[in-house]
Formats: sequence, structure tokens, C-alpha cells
Amino acid sequence: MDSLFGVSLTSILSGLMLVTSLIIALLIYIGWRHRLLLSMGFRNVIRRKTQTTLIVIGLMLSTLIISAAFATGDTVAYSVTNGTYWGFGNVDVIGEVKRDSPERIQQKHVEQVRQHFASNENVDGVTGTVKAYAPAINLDQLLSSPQAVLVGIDDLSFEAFGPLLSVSGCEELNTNALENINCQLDIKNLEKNEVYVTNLLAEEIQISKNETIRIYIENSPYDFKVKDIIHDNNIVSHFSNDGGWGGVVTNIESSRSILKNPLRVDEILISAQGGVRGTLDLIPGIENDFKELIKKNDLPIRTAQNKSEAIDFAELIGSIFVTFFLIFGLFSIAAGIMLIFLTFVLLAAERKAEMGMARAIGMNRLQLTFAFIAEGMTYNIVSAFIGAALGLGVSYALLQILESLVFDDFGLELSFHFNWTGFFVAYLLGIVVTFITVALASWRSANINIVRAIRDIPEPDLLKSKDTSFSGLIAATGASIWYLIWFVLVSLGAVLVFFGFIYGLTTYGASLLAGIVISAFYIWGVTHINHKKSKLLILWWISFNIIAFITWLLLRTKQWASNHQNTGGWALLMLLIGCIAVYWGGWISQQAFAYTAGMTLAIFSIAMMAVHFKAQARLTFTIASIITLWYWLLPLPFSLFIEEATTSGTAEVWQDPVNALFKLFGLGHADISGNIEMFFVSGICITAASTLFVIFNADILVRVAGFFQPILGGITPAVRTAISYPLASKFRTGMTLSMFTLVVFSLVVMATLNYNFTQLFTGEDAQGGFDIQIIANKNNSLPDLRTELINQGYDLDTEIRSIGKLQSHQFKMRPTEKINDKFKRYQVSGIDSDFIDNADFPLSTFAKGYSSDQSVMSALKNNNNFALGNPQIFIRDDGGFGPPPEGLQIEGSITELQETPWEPIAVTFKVADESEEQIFYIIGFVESPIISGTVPQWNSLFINYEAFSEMHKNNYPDSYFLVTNQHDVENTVRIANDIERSLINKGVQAISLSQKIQESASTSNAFSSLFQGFMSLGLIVGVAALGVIAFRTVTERRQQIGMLRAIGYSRKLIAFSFFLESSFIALTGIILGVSLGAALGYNLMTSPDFTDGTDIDVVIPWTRVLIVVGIAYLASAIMTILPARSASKVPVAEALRYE
Amino acid sequence: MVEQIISAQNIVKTYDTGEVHVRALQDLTIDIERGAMVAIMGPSGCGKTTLLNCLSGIDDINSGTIHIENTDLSQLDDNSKTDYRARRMGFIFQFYNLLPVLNAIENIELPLLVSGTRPGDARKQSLKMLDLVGLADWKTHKPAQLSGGQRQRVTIARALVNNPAIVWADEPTGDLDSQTATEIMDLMKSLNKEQGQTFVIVTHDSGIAKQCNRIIHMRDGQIENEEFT
Repeated sequence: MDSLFGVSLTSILSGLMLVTSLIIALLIYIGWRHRLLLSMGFRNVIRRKTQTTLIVIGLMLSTLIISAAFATGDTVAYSVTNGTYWGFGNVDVIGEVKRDSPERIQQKHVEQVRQHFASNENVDGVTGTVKAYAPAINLDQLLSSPQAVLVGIDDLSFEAFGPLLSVSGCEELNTNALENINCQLDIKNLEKNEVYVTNLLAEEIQISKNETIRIYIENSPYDFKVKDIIHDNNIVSHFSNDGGWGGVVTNIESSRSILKNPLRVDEILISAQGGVRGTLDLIPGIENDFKELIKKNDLPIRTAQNKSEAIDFAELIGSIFVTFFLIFGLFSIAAGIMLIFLTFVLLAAERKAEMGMARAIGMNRLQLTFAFIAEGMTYNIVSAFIGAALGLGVSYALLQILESLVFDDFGLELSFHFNWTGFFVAYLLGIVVTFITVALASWRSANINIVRAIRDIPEPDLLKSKDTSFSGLIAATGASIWYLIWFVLVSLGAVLVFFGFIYGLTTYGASLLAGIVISAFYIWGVTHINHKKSKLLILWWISFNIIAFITWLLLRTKQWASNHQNTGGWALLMLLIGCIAVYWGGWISQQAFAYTAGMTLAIFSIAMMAVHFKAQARLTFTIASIITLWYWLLPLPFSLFIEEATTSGTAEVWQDPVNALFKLFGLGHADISGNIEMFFVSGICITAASTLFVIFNADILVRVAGFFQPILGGITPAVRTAISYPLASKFRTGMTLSMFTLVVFSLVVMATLNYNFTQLFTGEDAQGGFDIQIIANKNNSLPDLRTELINQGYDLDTEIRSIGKLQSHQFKMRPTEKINDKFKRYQVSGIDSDFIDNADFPLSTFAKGYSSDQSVMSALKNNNNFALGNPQIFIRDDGGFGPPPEGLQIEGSITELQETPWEPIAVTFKVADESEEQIFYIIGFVESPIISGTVPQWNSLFINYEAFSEMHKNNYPDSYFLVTNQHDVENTVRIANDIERSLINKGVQAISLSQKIQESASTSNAFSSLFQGFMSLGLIVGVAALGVIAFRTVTERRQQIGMLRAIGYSRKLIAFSFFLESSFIALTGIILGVSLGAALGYNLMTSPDFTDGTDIDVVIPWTRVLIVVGIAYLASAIMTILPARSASKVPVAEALRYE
Repeated sequence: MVEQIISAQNIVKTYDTGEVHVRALQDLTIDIERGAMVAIMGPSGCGKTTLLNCLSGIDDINSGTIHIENTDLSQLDDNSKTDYRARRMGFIFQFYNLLPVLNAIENIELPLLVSGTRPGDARKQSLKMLDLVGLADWKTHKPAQLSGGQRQRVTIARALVNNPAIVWADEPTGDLDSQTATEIMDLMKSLNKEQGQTFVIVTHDSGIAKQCNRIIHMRDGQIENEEFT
């Protein structure tokens, strides 16, 4: 993998190295100038070993997740790339028959191309090959494959494309095998009646060396002796991987002979100098040259995807995997960052008195921050490395599971691989992220009042401002902007240094040096700005002019800003930023993340403003939280009447009140769209709101506990303290609660989406009403399955209730109204009346004049100009992963059609050798996700068979779809096998659809479980947070524990009280996460925008959810048992005597 | 005959801090009669608080015997001692040691709830006790919202709420100004007189000690002398 989010990995590494170097330089500076501070930091590391262990675990988790995501992506990219290299072998550029050309490629064209490249030293071979699909049958085993690839290789020009490799003696396919003379086979030695069979096909039909294989061409059987089984590599894999059926390799003359075309060539293959892997740079030049030759001589050839493009695509797949894992790991990373922050805030709280003393004897805030940073970085450097290394282990385990569950099905062999760049990026990213968090937490902690710290007086409520006048508010906003400008200035400086470094590294070394000198000069100026007589300072002023002025102004107003900042100022600034985000997201860029995040920010800033003006904090934040949750989780509470609201036009008032308001004045914004990032944004906003709600209202629980006092009996005091203590420390409880909620929330949403989509794709509906698919091949056509089965003596009536026909072809077409659009090919399937009568294709919408799915299907059966559409033909603008679908593209969406009655959509087809046009009217759309995953041919436009036959003559059905009398998996598999055996001479493949769906369901389940497993790593963060807090609590409350023991609390009651306290946080987080996750999951699955209009009966997978939260709670319980026990063992007398 | 509520014979308590062994109490013997108000005085490190901790059973002794109300503490396991403390003893500390997250009334009712008193009764008794120390109007205030003297009154109320036989007080006025200290002492004296509980008070302050009817002077883990007022 070379890049992430479009930035090269080397550049990212270079930048991170620079930042890390600066961090280390800072540590060296601290050590040099303030050795005591460094010692203070280091000594604290070994002060409490259990706590240190927990901190290291917490710190390493973020790095672990990043590293695991990188290694997984690297492995997938490497393996896909590897597969692509093997797939292409020595083939670099491919020419195939031009799609619409009446002429075919012939041997003379091959000669022409060979001659053209004869003088090109970059090309080491040009060959022509024959390629045809044909059913292949193992007559002994009575097993068949309907689509094997017959490959004819020209032995005269084959040398440059590498050897064919026998499987025997070279089981492991690697570079050594290529050079192993014992594995190499010679195509020249093949007799006319001999073939090589590729491993893929051999396994499919269980054929071995020296057995007889039969293939059908134009309905005539041809028997060959299998001379050897060969690897699907090199030139052969290029063919055999096509469709995954495997191939039969013959000498080109043999293939031409049975195809009855002595000059036939299907592909021209060009090999570049450099073997399998060293040709990428040469390919574009060779292909351009090839294209020019084709154009100049008007050859019936077009270039297909070349090796270089395929490798790029493979790397894109790897990059998508990393992005996917990183995005789904974001929750865990966010939880990890919160844990780091919390840990250092707690450490600071623990040392509050020490810090107060240090400040009292003359240590300034910066020095205190330095001491913390030194300590934090000691943990950090070690734990980030452990995390990065463990990430590789996690990735390895993950990939082992992935390979056995998923990739085996795609024939992809995973080989674990990571590159050091990715590893170091993860490691350094871990260091930098932790450093930033530690620095912020340290700065916050160092900002203490000496007297309060020494006397352990609680900090004042930050939300309450003394000055609530209007002028005070303006001044406070100014002060907040002051801080913002500093932040922007520092960030800009960091960004400039970052990119300056990369630029300097890749272009001129001097600019790097200059960048360092300029930065150092600027920092010198900042520290000497008041030295009026310095000449160097004048130079500084001249050099930095505007920036120098801003810096000077900021320094001059530092005290003013510090004196005037308050909640009101920050609230106003946040409100301003929120409004800008709403405007930008809604009216400028139509980006949902900015719009919704801005809205959330605005809601909370208004709440903060109200508190500034003396509103009751509890009431205000409760209302703000409810509004935010209402905003994000709609339409859940209103889903009962949302349909009515939609038709009456009031839905928007509920869903987007701001836009509804603006629309009243004709100022509403256009539709906004969001992508996968909305998952993260929604998680953060919902979690923040719900946490605030709980923190500000959980004292109700104390009252509830009081109500249950008679039942609770002797444990009442434990219950009371277990709830009261967390609520008394709102910040730390809120942070821990958020971590738990965030991770559980993400897991529940994922579980809900995965479960429902899996059900959708793999439920009974996915069978489309059929039990068995019979795949035939035109080279051994099957005009009438029913007759053929009867002829073979098959007991049709006992087993089969109905047989439907389907034939597919790619027609050129365009929307009729778009007369300027080009005609594009799109798959059309003709289905006969038996198919239509039995098909159970749920429709997502139908045109005006139709009242039900049945009426649409009936019209399709009886009208030769009607078609059934597929939602994939709508133009997709969601910017999702992967390339947009090709072919017919229609404006609009299923959701729009569902909302308003619509006229049939006219599509013009090119028919009769594309000389004529015929219009078809789409009268309904199938619910595509349900059926398209089961049978590829169902991913098309459907018309009736009669209409299809008129346009596409002299062809036979590709597939038959059977309804059996017994529908269970066991019986359909048995019937499918019986049919395959009965029709062995036709080489058909019979597939039990229920078995196919069952298999893909288990793959899908395994895959989603794996993703959830990866996301569950975040739970470890939450559990570690609880552990850190619990240990801290024991230390903090030592004296109180002593007192409780003195007045009669038993050891058990003390332990129980601590255990209950941690459980309170964990259980509240779990309940919040589960309910919010289920609500969002439900909303998404019932949103037509999200499901392409598919109607889904949403099910929350409670069993799965309960297992996850059960494990989470169990882990948190185990984690808190240790501190609870240690609390119960506190020696009473000592605890009472000493702090 | 006067009943001895506390009887300690030849008690020895050592602290083992690595290589250093500190003999905090050295073969100390003491008897305290029921209803007495005893002050224990002495220089820092003489073993006052250690003696109080050992006598009250919150710390173990190395040798010797301690009988409280004729019960041999050494025969009780941790749970029994805890239960005994909950029912028969009250504690007052210099730094109050109130739970900051609970309000005054909730702090006071803790020992009652722990010892199994019904919540309704516990609340009633606690309110009565809070009234007795003159803080009935402050029942819903948390410790941080009370003055030092008020906090100590809450501590006294908590110590007395379960009607203990003995109240142990470790520097009860150490963190208070002289006027508040006097008020607290007056309160303890009146409770001692009216309710007949035994008070054992560790203090540095001779003025406080003089208000008790017996003063025990300690030095180097032993009783140096005693005086009766």
C-alpha cells in the first residue's frame, strides 16, 4: 500500500518523523534545562506499577488499531496484487475483438502486430490465442463444468510468456517453481488428442492425469486425454481466472480445428521485457503504441485492461481495506484518545497537592506541563511500539480468519505482509496522537490554583461566569477568538513545517534547512519580542512583518484574554462556528457531516450561553441533550405517523426543522448527502448528548435507590455511594461513560446493519421464488430442459413443479428522452411465462396504473414492450466505494419514484444487428439488493422471452430456473445432483439456490463478525478506562475507606461498593450504547435513502448484541474486582492517619 | 464497684517499616471506666493515636489483651470487630472524614444502615441526632457547604447516632479555631453527661484535656503519668 487518503505513505512518514523529532527535541530540552522535571516524570512511571501497566495498555490500543488496519490493508493489497501478477503472468498488454466490429481478429493481425513490435526492444513477445467457453465433463465421475475456457496456445510464439507448470512436484506456486525445470511443461509435446487441464477445473470436476475429459463445441462432443494438471498461472491463469471456471489448454491448431476456424484468434497478447513484475513502467508506452497501430490500420481490435491498470486496481482494493478498517476503528481510536486524556487528568488530580506545592515554591505552569509531558512520553514511546507490534499480531490473526472465511471463496490466497513504512507510520502516529493528547491534558492540569490545590478545595464551576453583562460577553468572545487565533497560528505553523519538510526532502535539501532556520528564528523572536535594543529583533520584525505584528498583538493582550475568557465567550464563538458549518454544509457544499455537526454544536453552544446567563445548568443541558438526540434519532419516536407526515408535507418539520423554517421563506437548501463518515459523526454527537443527559440527571437514580431501601437492606449505603461518587466526578464519569457508550453504540449499529442486510441478501426472498438454477452453455445447447430430462428418463413430475427459462444478452440502449446520450450496453434478461408466474421478485415501486406486484408481472408477461427495471440503473452520486456501475444510466432515484406516482420510463434498445431501434417501457423496479446477489443474470432489465427472442434470434436459454416440490436444502441439493448426472452429456451445472444462499449467509456472517471483532478492540479501551478509574478511586478515597471501615463497613461491603460503582458506569454505558445504537440502526434500515427503497422488516439482533455487551460487562467486572479487593484490604488505622 | 468498659493489659504494638522496627506501644496497661471522659496527651509520636486505634480494634496489637465491655477483642475476627464497631462505637476524627458526596443527614445515617437499622428508623434517629448537635436546618447540605465546626458537629452526630458505648475522638478540635473548639467540647461534655457514653479523646491541647475528668500523659509508647480533674 503506497498511499492513504490520497497522500503518499512516504510523505506521511516523513512528516511524522519530523514531528516525532520535534517531540524528542522537546524532551531533550526538558532534560537539559530542567533535569528535575524529567526525573519527576520518570520516577512517577515506576511509582505505581499496576496503574502504569493499565496506562500502557490504554495508550497502546490506539496504535494497535492503526497498525492492525495498516497491516490488514497491506496484506490484502499485497495478496490481491500478487494474485493479479500471477493472473497476468508475462502477459502485459491485451488486445481483444472490438465489440461492435463485424470482423474478427485473424492470424494475419497477429503477424502485423508482431512485425510492428519486432524492433521495439521493450517487447519480448507477441502471440495470438484462441479462447472459447465450453462445457467440460469428467465422464468417469459424471461431474461437469458448464463454462470451462478452452485455450489454444501458439507454440511458435509462446516462449516469451513463460512455461506451463505441472502441479505434481510443484505444489507450492512461487518464483522457485517457475525456475524448476521438473515442473515445466512444453506445449509442443501435446498431441492432437491431448490437453492440459488447469487445477481450478480439475478440482471442480475431480479429474486427474491420464483420464478423459469431454468438451462440447457447437453441440458436438470432443474427448481428450488429460496429459497433466497444470497451475492456473501465467498465460493460462489469464484465461482460467476469467469467471473462475478453470481452463482446458490445447495447441492452437487443435482448438482451431474443433472450433472449425483455421485462422481464428481471440486475443493478441504482448509481453514486455522484465518478466512478471518488472514491466509496469513499460506498459503505458507499449499500449499507446499498440493503440496507434490499431487506429492507423483500423484493426478489429481494442485494448483490454492491462497489467499495470489491474495492479493499480489491486492497490486501490488494499487502500479501501485500510480505509475501511481505519474508519471502523475510528470509534476505538477516539475512545483510546479519550482514555489517554482521562488518564492524565486523573494523574494530575492525584498529584494535585504536590503540584500545588511545586507551584507555591516557584515552578511555573509550563514547567509543570513539561514534567507531565516527560512522564507521558515515557509511557508513550514504549506503549506505542508494543501497540504497533501487537497490531501486526492482531492483523495476522484477523487475516487467518478472513482467509478461511471469505477469501477462499474468491480463490484469493492471502499471504501475510506488511511494509515497514506502514508499521512506522502507525507507530509514529501513535506517538504523535498521544503526545498531542498528553500535552493538552497536561496544560489543563497545570492550570491550577495553588491554594485550592494545596488545601484540596474543589475547583470552581467553569460554566458559571461572573460577568454576565453584554460588554462582558463581547470581551469574552474576543478572548475566545484570541485563543482561536493562537491555535490557528500554531496549527498553520505546524502544517507549513510539515509540508515544507516533505517538499524539502523530495526536492531541495536547502529548503528543509531554511525551514528549520526560519522556524527557530521565529521562536527566538517570540521569546525576545520585548528586547527593544536588539538589532536582530528589527530583522525579525521586518522578516515576519504581519505575522510578527499578530504575534506581538497576541502577546500584548495575553493577560487581557486570560482575564476575560468565560463560558459565554466560548459559547458565542461555538455558535458562530456551528452556524457557519450549517450554512456551508446545507447551502454551499450539501455535506451532511458539516450540516449536522454544526447543528449539534449550535444547540450546545446555545445551552452554554443560557448557563452563562444564569440558567440552571441541569435543566439547560438536559433540554439541549434531548433536542440533539431528537434531531439525530428521528424519526424513531415518530415512525408511527411519519408516513402520514410525509404525505402531508410535515415530515421535514420533524426531520430538519431548520430547513423547514427557511423553506417558508423560499430559502431552503438543496438535498444534502453524507457518506460513511456520518456513522462516526452521528456516533460522537449522539454519545455526547446522551452522556450529558445522564450526567446531569443520574441523581434521580439515587432517589430511586432510596425508594428501594427496604429491599436493599444492608447494602443500601453501598448502592448510595456507588451512584453518588461517580456523579460527584462528572468529568471523569462522563469521559468513561462516553467511551463505553461510543464503542457499544458502534458495535450495535454495525451488528444491526450487518444482520439485516445479511437477512435481506440471504433470506428466502433472495431465491426469487425458485429452488434450482440450471446453467447451460451455448456450445452444448439445451433448447428445452423439460424434454431433455424426460428423454433421459428423469422422473420430472415427482420432483419438479415448474421450469422457467432465462436468456441474457447485453443490448445497447439509452433513455429514450435523452436523444443526445450515447447508447450503452446493459444486460437484458428474457424470461418466459413460467418464470414470470413463479418469480417472487419483490418490487420496490411500480408505475401509474398498476396496483400490485402481480399486476406488473402480468403486464410484463403479456406485453412485448414492457420491462422490469433494476435500481442500479439510476445515476449514483453518493461517492461510495468502487467505480460507478456502467451501462444504462437514468436520472432520479427509487426514493423519488416511491414518493410520487410516475409514468413508465421509456428506454430505446438497438436491435436487429443494431440497425433498428425498439422502445421498451419500464413499469416497475425490483428490490435489487434482495435478488441481485443470488444470480448474476437477475441483475438486469427483465423483458418477456418472446420479445427477447425477436431481438436476439438463434440462441438458446443460458439458464433454467426450477421450482421443486420439496424446497428444503437437502432435497434441492439432491435434485440438483440428480439433474446434473442425468444431463451429464450436456455438461450443465445445477445449483441449489437455497444452498448457495446458505453458504453466502455464513460467509457474510463470518465477515461481519470479523469486522465487529475488530471494532470490539475499543471495548478493551473502555474496560481499561474503568480499571484506571477504579485504581485511582481506591487511592483517592483511602482515608474515606478507613473511616467507613471504622464506623462498621465490612470488607465485603467496601469491595461491593467499589464493584458496584464501576458496574454503574459500565452498565449505564452499555444501556445507552445499546439503546442509541439500536435506534440509529433501526432508522438507517427504515430509511429509503439508505436501503435503495427496499422495504425491510428491521430486526435488532438481540442475541448477538447481548453476547457482545455481556462480554463487555464481564470484562469490566473482572477488571474492577482487583481494585475493589484492594479497597477492602486498606489498613484502617493507617488510612485514617495518613493521606 | 465501678465498671471498667475498657481494660487493656500489657499491650505491645510495633510497626515494621522495612529495616526499622518502631515500638509504638510498649507493654502498656490501661483501664477506663464506663461513662468517663478521658483525654490522652503526649508529644508527637508518643503513640496516642496508635493506642486509640488499638483500643478501638481498628488496628491489631502484637501482644497483650484488650477487653471492651468484657469482650476480648483478640478473640474477634475482622467481621465481628467490624460489626462491634458499627453497633457499640463511634468515631470522631480531626479531619472529619465525612463522605463529600453525601449530605449531612446521609452521612449520619451511614452507621445505622450498615448495622441493619431500617432506613426509615435510621432517618428518624439521624434527624434527632442532627437536631441535638444544632444542625437540623443543615441536613441537606454537603460537607463542602459546611464550616469546619459544622462538619465536626456532623461527625459527632454520626459518632453518636448508633448510641455507642464508647466514642473515640482523635484530635477532634485540631482543625478548629478556639471558639469553635470550645463549642465542640461543650457539646461532647453535655452528651457525655446526658447520655452517659464513654469518651476517649486524643489531643495536643491541654485546654481540651482539662475539660475531661481524666488525663493520661504518654511518652515513648508508655503511660508516663495520669491526673484526675
